[in-house]
Amino acid sequence: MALPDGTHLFVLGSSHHNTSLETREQFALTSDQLDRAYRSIGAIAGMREVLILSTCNRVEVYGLAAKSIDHSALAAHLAEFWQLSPEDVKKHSFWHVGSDVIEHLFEVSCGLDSAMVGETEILGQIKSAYADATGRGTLGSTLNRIFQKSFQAAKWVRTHTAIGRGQVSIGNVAAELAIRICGELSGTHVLLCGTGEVGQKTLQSLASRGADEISVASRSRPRARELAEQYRGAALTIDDALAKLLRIDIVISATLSQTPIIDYTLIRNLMRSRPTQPLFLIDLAVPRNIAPQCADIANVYLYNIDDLGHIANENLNSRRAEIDSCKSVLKARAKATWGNIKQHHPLSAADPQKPQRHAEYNRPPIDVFATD
Amino acid sequence: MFADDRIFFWIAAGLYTVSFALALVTLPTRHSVTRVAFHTILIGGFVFQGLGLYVRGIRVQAFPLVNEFEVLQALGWLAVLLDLIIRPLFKLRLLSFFTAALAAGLCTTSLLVPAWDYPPESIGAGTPWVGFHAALAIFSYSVFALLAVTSLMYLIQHHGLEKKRAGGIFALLPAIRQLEDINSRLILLGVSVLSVGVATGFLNWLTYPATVSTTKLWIACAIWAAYLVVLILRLTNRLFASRFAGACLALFLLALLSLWPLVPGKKPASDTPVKTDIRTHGTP
Repeated sequence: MALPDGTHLFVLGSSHHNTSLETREQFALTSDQLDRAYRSIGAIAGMREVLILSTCNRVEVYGLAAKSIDHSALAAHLAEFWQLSPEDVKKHSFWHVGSDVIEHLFEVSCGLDSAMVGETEILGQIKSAYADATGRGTLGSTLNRIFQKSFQAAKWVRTHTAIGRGQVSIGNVAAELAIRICGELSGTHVLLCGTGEVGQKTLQSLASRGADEISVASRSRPRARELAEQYRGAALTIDDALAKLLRIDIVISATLSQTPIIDYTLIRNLMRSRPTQPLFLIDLAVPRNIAPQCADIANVYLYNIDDLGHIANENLNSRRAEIDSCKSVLKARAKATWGNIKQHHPLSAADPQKPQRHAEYNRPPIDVFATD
Repeated sequence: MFADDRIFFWIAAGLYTVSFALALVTLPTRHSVTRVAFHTILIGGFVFQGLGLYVRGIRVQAFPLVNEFEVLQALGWLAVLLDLIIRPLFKLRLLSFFTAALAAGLCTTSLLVPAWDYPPESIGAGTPWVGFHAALAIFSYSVFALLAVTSLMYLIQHHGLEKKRAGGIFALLPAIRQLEDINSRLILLGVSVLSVGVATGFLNWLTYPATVSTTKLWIACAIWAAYLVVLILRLTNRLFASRFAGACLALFLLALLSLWPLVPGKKPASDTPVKTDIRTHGTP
């Protein structure tokens, strides 16, 4: 699995497949933490390339490094960063090397590894992570190549397979649940906290089904106002919105807050004032924005991102054949890409353009991880 | 035993069962043709059950409510009648499906126990107030039967939402808010009607104390008081959501069980029976 120069391609990751939402909350990276993570990982001796993919459902570190950097070593390093025990990080993470990394990346970019199989938002998130890593200068020819190939694979899957057919979005699931709780959505008051893409799409689904009393709350007032204007709604600050929860029927929360913005006491006191009016809380954030204990309060229905994902995947069995077919195609493409990487490696004897590539290869790798 | 009118009740039981089975099988498709077929069969059952009650009523010259069989038949028939009125009025999906199951259950069970269908013990004089009391009581019980149905629907929907289940029957049931609203209206209606029924029964008992046993009186009052307490707790927002639905369901089961001591064909437990028109004593 090693390349001719003794380095190996790896991915250490933690996703919804092998960790609970609680654990993923511990692994979640804010933009500040992501910055520090890049510097910290980049400082590891022998690390040549790195890309960090951080979404609400996964944190994955793709890299090219000396063989001495294995699962245990990187887990120990990340444990220090996350202030967790190395055993915990290792226990809650997976480790792939060589062609398995490429196969995994292809499946992720095609949405096959997503909580909602077949969704397309992950491709945008990978592209953002790729652009971010490119901007930081942490990518070399190997990661560059496999990520470019993953975009092609995703496009191929979208064009040539029916993987997206029958797929249900988070917004649709949330809207169906809202109808089961509130009935007709016209006249239903919806509050969106945060102006992220997933929250916006969920709001759009509710609005398309008749929700017409909409408020948008965000730390950034101009963004909240811009979004609220689309729905002829009100723009509020988060604090103002929480103070006006009495009239709200549905709360969509998708902020980047590291601590819950809606706690048990707030909802308990709120429901004392309106005990017979059900409240639907949709928590799309990781870490969660709404205290999970709120679900214990009568007439409160709390759904987090995993709950919605499970519901969206209820029709997965009918799509199983298509998924298996996609996976086998991606496996073959991953093997071909890996073979190509090995063949065209600057130190590979089989490479016809070895001298040119060798010159590029010899640039000092550690420079790209320059620390402050 | 009234062999000639039981044929109508058997046909009604069959039609209710077929309508329920048809709805159960075709529930996922929700095809308009099967919906029409379901409602046609359900209404057919309602018509035949009504015919059965009519024929028996002609024979005994009163609304037939003297034994367990007749009370259960009347309860099922009135529940379907209420469903036919309430479902289109409040656009409650699947209400008829559950009502068909209830009607099929009540109708078939009462037919399967021949001992429940016995002739009155005696014929004598009575007052019109007793008949009025019986009519109100059985009507309020049918309201409570429908309340039990909507409460069950609430609990199923609530269970689905709590357990994060989607699709299937959960997607077809009415919304939690709608069911809570209809439950509140039904208990208010049921308790109001039963209150008048209990009051007329009480006045009759004051006039003819020997016609009603103390046990029967206490049971009737206990059922009425229990529903009244639940209504008050609901109106003061101290009982709501799944606990309210659970209480309504449990109370109806209790009310059903209470029919046995309350049915007028039974001899009073402690009092000496008086030669009077037992047919007009009615139910609770």
